[in-house]
Amino acid sequence: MTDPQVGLLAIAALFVLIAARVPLAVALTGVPFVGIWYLISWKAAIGSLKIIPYNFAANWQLSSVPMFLLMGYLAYHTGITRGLFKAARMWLSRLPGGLAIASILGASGFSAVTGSSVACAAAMGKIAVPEMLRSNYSPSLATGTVAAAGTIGALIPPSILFIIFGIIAQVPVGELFIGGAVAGALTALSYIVVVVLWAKLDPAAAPAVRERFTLREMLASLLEVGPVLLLAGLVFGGLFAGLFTPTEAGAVGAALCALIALFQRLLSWENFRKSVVEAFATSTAIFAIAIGANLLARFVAISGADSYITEALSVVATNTFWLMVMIVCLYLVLGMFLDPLGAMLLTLPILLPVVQEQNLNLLWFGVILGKLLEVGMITPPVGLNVFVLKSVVGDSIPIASIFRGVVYFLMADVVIVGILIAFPQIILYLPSLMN
Amino acid sequence: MQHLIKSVDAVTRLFAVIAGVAVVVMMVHVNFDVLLRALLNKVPPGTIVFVSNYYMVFLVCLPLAFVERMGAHISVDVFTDHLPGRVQRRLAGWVFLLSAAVFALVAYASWLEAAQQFRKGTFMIEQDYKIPVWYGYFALPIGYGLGAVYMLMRFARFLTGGDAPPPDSAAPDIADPDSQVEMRSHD
Repeated sequence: MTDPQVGLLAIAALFVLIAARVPLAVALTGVPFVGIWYLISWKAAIGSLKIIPYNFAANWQLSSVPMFLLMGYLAYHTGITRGLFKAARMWLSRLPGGLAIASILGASGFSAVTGSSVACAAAMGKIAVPEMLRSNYSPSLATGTVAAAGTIGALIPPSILFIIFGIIAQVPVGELFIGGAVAGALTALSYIVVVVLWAKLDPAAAPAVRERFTLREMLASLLEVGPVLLLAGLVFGGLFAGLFTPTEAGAVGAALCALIALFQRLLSWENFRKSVVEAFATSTAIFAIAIGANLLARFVAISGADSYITEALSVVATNTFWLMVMIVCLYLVLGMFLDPLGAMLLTLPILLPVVQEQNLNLLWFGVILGKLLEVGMITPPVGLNVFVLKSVVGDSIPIASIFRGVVYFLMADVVIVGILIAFPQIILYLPSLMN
Repeated sequence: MQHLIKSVDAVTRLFAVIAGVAVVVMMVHVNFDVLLRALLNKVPPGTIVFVSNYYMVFLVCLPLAFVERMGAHISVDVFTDHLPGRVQRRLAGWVFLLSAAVFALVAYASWLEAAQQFRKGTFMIEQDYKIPVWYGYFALPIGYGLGAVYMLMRFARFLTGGDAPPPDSAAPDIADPDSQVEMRSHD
C-alpha cells in the first residue's frame, strides 16, 4: 500500500468510527496516531502526541473561545436580551408576518452577543414561538422561522466558528467577523422576504395582529433593548477602535455582560455558575476535537493524501465553480449528521490544502463555509436547531411540521449561498476597507 | 468498587471547579490588562503567558472526565439509533474501552513531555520577569488520565452488567433541560 492509500484508508476508517458513535475527539485522536505509527514509527506517533495537544491548548488567541462562550451563556441565562423581541414586535406587528419578522430581528440582535446558533434558537424559541401561536400563526411558520433565524447566531459576530477557522486557516478574525456580519445580515434579510411572501400567499398562516400600541409604549420598548445594544456596541466598538484585540474582546464582553446583568438585578449565583460551567465544558469538548483535528492535519500531510485528493479533485472540479459546487454538496451532506464545529474540524485538515492549492481567497471561503455549516443546523435528519425548537414547544407541534416550515428558509439559504459564491465582493469589500 | 467510583467522581468534580475558577480568573486577568493599558498606558507583564500556559490548559484539559459525565462530548448517533437496543449498548460499552485507550495514550505521551519540561524547569521571560511555565504541562496528563480512568470505569460497569446508559441520560446535576440541549452543540 502506498502512503496516500494509507491516508485515504485512515480517513475512511475515521468516518466508520464516527458513524459507530465513537466520540469525535476519540476518533480524531486515535486514527492519526495509528496512522503515523504505521507510516513512520511508534516513537514518531508518541512524539506528535507530546507536542500537539499542549501547543494547541496553550494558545493565547484561542482563549477568546471560552470567553465569548461565557459572554453568550451569560446573556442567555440572565435574559438581558429579553427586550429584543418585545421591541421588534411592537414596531413591526402591522407588517404581514410581523411577529415572525420580529423574531428574525430579535435573533439577529441576540446574535451580536452570542456566537452560538443553538442558544439563539433556544432564546427566541421560548419568547417568540408562544407569542406567534397565541396570535394563531401556523405552527410551521412560527417554529420554522425561529429555527432558521437561530442560524444567524453563528454568522453575526462574535462567532466561535469564525474564531476557530481564522486561527486554523490563518485569516484575521476581525476580518472574518465583518465578512460574517455581512453574510448574517443578508441571511436575515432573505428570511424576512420569505416570511413576507409566505404571509402574502397564505394569509391564514400569519393573521394580522390587532394589537395597537401607544407611542409611549413603543418608545419605552426601545429602552429595554438598551443593555444589549450597549454590550454589543462596547465590545465591537472597542474592538474596531483598537482599544483591545479580538482575542481580548471575549473577556471584555463576558465581564461587561455580567456587569450589565448585575445592574439590572438579573445576575444570580445560579445563572452565573451555570454559564461558567457551560463555558468551560463546551470549550473542553471543542478543544478535544480540535486537538484531534490538528493531529489529523499532520497525518494527512505525512501520508500525502492531501495532494492525492487535490489531484483527484482537479480532474472533476476543473474550475473554482465546480470545486465550490462540490464543497457545497459535501457540507450539505455532512451537515445532515454532524454538529457544525465537528464538521469543520473534521474536514479542514483535508480540504484546506486543496483550497489553498486552488488559490481561493480564504476569507471568502471561510465565510461561505460558516454559512454552509449553519445550513446544516436546519437540514433533516439531524437539524440541531429544529430539535431545540422541538424541546421548547413540547408535544404540541410534531417535528415534521417544524421541518416543513424550515424548507422555505432553506430555499432562501440556497439563493444566498449562490449569491455569495457568485459575487465574492459582497463578503470581501468591507473587510478590505480595514487595511 | 463503590468506593473507587465515589472517589473518581469527587476528583472529577474538583477538576471542574478548578476549570471554573480558571475561567473566571482568566476573564478578570484579561480585563485587568486591558484596563491598565487603556487608563494608565501600562502593560502588566505576563498576561499572555498566564492565559495560555495556565488558565487555558487547565480549563480545556482538566474537565475531560466531567464533560463525559455531562454527556457533552460530541458524537453522531443517527446511524446507531436504528440498531436494536442490545447492540447499541454493546457498541457503547466497547466505545468506552476505545476512548479509555486513546485518552490513556495522550496522557502517557503528555506525561513524558511534562516530565521533560519539569526537569528543564521551563520558564518564559517577560519584561525581565522569569515566569515558570512547566506546571501547566501537567494539566494534560492529569486531565486526559482522569478521562481515561472515567471511561474505563464506564467500561467496567458495562462488563459487570451494570447498564451503560447513553451519554445523554447520564447528565446528572447539570442545570435544566435547555442547557443540556445547548451543550450538545458547539457552533
